[in-house]
Amino acid sequence: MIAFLLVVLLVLASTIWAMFGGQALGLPVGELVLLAGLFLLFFGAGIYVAAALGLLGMLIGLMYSDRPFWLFLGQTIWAPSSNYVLVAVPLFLLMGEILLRAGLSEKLYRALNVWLARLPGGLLHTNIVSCAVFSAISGSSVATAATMGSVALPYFERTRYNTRMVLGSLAAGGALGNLIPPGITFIIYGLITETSVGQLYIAAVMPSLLVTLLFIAVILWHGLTHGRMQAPARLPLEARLRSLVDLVPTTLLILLVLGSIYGGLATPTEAAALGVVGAAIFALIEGRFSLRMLQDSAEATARTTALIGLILFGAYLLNFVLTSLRVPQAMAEMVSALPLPGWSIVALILLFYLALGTFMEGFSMIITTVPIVFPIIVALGYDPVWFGVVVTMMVEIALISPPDGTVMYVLQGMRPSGGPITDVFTGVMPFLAVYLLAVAILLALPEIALWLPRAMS
Amino acid sequence: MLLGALATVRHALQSVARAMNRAAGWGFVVCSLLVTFDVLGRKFLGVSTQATVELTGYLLAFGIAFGLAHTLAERSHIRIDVLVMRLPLGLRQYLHLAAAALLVCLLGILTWAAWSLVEESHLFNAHDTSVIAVPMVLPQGLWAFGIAVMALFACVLTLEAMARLAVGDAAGVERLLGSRSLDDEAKEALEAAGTRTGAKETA
Repeated sequence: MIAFLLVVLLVLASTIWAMFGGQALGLPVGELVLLAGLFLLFFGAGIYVAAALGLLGMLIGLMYSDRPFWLFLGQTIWAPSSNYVLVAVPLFLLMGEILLRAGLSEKLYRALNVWLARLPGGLLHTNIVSCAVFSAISGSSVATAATMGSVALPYFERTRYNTRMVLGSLAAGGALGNLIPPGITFIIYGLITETSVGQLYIAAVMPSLLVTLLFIAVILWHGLTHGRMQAPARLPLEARLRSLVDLVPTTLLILLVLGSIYGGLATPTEAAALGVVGAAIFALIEGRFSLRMLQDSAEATARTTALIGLILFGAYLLNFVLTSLRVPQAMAEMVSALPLPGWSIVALILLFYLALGTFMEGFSMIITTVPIVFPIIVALGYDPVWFGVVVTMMVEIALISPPDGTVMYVLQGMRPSGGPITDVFTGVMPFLAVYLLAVAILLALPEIALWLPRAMS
Repeated sequence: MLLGALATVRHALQSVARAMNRAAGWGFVVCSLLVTFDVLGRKFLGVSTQATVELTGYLLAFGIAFGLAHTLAERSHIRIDVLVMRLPLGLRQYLHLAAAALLVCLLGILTWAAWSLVEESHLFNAHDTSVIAVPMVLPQGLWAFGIAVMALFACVLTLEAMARLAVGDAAGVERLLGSRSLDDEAKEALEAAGTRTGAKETA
């Protein structure tokens, strides 16, 4: 509620400011005011996101464009529909759906547990690390949280672990799903902004390590201040080494998917296809593969792809009209002419994302806002690849920001002994805080993201 | 009477949409096999279909379009309903209906735009530039068909919701159009992961 009001205020403020300051610069103030007002009305009234975007585009086009823009609409929506880069989205989704049903996660969790359980904070570390590793083969945060949560939660039954920390760490781990390559958000960002998805994946490596380390630090701190929680007996080295065998399938899949992208052997789309086949082979080895299972995975993939596709249609319609009216360019020029330092504008934009994220889901957030925000960022002199990483982090933060984060509800649904959802909300807070800290660090030191792509080229 | 007829049509369309979504899903399976063969073939055998980029693009267009209607039937298309869900049911049903009606408008435009593109491709006898020179009307036609089916389905859904509204069946409107709660979404992810749900309450 507060977030929604904050968004309203921000939009109103920028509108008023555009009316006074923008007129002098010859801006299409009319479009901006109309757009902002109708946007709020439509979104507030629960109109489908795609319809809100597309119909606003048509309306603005009819009112302000003097060209027969409707002649190009077919081509405008066909372009993203048949885009080779976007093909990677359903393929990564399909891989994730197969892995979700393949039982790989159980072995992963057990094996990591052998190595991490004796640290202060114990099993909680296993939650984070297993989620991080699983993220490296799956591009979906919800799938990551669901898979690892279903494996992890039974381990905590009848232990003295703080329930809130258990749920919080799993939610936080899930929120690594899209940030750790290969993530789907990066593909959609790459599609909209024409940024290289491969570069985005390379740039995301250091930031995802940073976030993971910060999560581990939270748990270490919790472990040290709350005493050891039933540290298990030390296992003989032989048993520990034997547990590594269970990590083999996961490691192979990571090598297959990320290795082929980073090694320059395959495009993200090709790596995703290899990942689907690899995931199916491991499911086969585990004895979990069947045509029925493949069909279930495929149907779930088709649904998610259609949902993304419809929003893309709406966004492309709106964007086509706005671009032909030069609105994003004009806004970018106006914002970059402001007597404010660039970082403060970026910080404002990120605050806007934070507020948006409390009630909006990730895909629609990216598809709706990036076409408008991206030219501003570029005009301010920021790197498109860096912004892609930061925006993805904001989307991940949205997934774990109460009261509306899918990941948290997935975990709530899995609790073996039930309890109030507020346990999840409270538990995730420290992780949410360090996630935001990581964004701040990236804002101050963009090199964390940009160093690796440069070093590799 | 009218309500019954509309519900029958809707059920029929729902089965069609389910089958189309299944086809879309298998399309993605084919897509991954196609790309895999292309990568491996190029690497180890020195052969390539030389049309993989085009073909997978068409499979994507097919997949998106054929999944659309079923996704609407499953109430999975995205709306921002934080405010809506706080309103009383009597008010909420009108907003559901408004959302559906505006969705029909969008789909009308999309269907028209997609269809004009198909006609254009037909008129100019357009083919892609790959070795197999696919006539563009084929993939674009399937794509436009998928969008049109969703448009039709959205129309029927809206009409049925109007009829239900007229007879005062607010709960029925909500069942047809209310977006899936986060609970439903969570449950689905859990079923896929093969766990039983232990949730008792989420409030």
